[in-house]
Amino acid sequence: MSDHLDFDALADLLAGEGSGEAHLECCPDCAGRLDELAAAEVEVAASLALLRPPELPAGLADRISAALSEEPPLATPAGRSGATAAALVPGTAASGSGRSDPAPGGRAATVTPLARRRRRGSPAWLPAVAAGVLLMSGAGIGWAVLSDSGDVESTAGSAAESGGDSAATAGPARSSSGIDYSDPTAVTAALPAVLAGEADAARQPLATAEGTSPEGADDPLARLRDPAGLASCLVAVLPPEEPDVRPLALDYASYNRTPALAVVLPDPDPGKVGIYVVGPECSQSADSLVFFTRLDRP
Amino acid sequence: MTAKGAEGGDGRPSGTDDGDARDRELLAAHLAGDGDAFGRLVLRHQGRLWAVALRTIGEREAAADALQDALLSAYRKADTYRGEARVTTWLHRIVVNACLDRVRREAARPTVPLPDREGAEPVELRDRLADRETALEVEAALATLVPDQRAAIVLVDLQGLSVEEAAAVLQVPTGTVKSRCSRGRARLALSLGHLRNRPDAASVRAGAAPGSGAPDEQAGGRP
Repeated sequence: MSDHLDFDALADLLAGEGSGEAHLECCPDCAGRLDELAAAEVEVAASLALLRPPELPAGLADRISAALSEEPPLATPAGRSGATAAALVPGTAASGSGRSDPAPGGRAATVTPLARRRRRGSPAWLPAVAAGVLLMSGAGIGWAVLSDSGDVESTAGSAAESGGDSAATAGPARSSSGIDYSDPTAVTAALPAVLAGEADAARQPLATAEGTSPEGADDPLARLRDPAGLASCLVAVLPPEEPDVRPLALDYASYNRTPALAVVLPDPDPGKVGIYVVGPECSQSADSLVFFTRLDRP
Repeated sequence: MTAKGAEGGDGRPSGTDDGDARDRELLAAHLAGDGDAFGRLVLRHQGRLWAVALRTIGEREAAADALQDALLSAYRKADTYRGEARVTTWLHRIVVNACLDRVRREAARPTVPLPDREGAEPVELRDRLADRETALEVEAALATLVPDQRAAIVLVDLQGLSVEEAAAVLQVPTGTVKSRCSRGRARLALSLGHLRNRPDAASVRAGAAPGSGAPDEQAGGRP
């Protein structure tokens, strides 16, 4: 009987994975066994369908929960964590308190502390060569880089000289929309204008959050309008792994009625943009990311 | 984590885009330092993961230990998730691997004799379970399968994963999953008495151990 198909060979044939079809054509015995096995497997499937999902034993959920609660907070390499979070969350986020914020397009958004987006151990990731943190001057034209000391060195025009694209050389679009980035509808509606630098509240009536002052002495975001303050903040926001990334737009706005700056960055997916909303205290040394999401590029 | 119930977990497949998006949110929040996010992710799937663990191992205490170990492992190495598969696939993979590791470790213990899957076991099994419910017979029969076949059947036939999803969980080609499922069902058919004529025992290499040359273990696998 060694020439006959064995049990596994018959099972493989049923799975469409066997190679004994030729034998079957000339062996009624094996063909009959195959038919019987096929019928039996149907019965097995019916038997398996009788099984109900077992209930979680009493206490196991608590036991697992307790074990997880004893775990230290996840400590991942900062850069990788940020990249992973971005890969994980196409337009989604959750805050440190576990709250999930609605995001434009109906998707929730994930809050990623900026610390986790930085390369571990290199808070001054801007190296001695002062590689490419851009800073827009108060006039919105010039660029600057930060030296090791964090001082701003004017390098107006350097982006153009280094072959930067038009967006880079022109600097990011700049608006003071005042919109609340916790409002998905408002953000979606405003994004084209934000990217065009035409979302100023005075120019077009967008929902302005309470407490968000226009530019002026009482402007909580005044520090981020200042070139040095903005540069420091962008050090925290721009991905250290991608020194060539430049903001597409800056929008002085709010989040949950608190003044905030939205930094719109290119996304690895050219059809999307990333929006990082930071608080007024955003700086190279202070994480203040309050919201992150990815949206379709208008 | 306080609730015991599953957040949307009903023990059945939950691989919708919305569900996966929510899972990704929670995993991202966990990576971002949210101390509750992973617990909420576990709540969503623990019922289903428990079913996989129990049926892959076949013993409650060991399954509970394996599930806890697997979830702690997932907690710690969440940053290794690359986002290419569904989060549930990733979780299943970790749980199934933990279970299979445990089963193999147990099987390797010299003081725990391997069950003799050849010979008269099916008849004995039927006799032993004659007065029990069919479901219990099936559970018992499942426990007699070799771990790889059992895991494939648990994922595909019991948990409702597609062959492709099961292949992603088990990290084998889809053809291997099909073969393991079919061979496992065939042995279940024997155990449950669905085959009128038992094949020659010599032809029923129960176990088809890895490396035995069985088609589903060939190098390179199947597409």
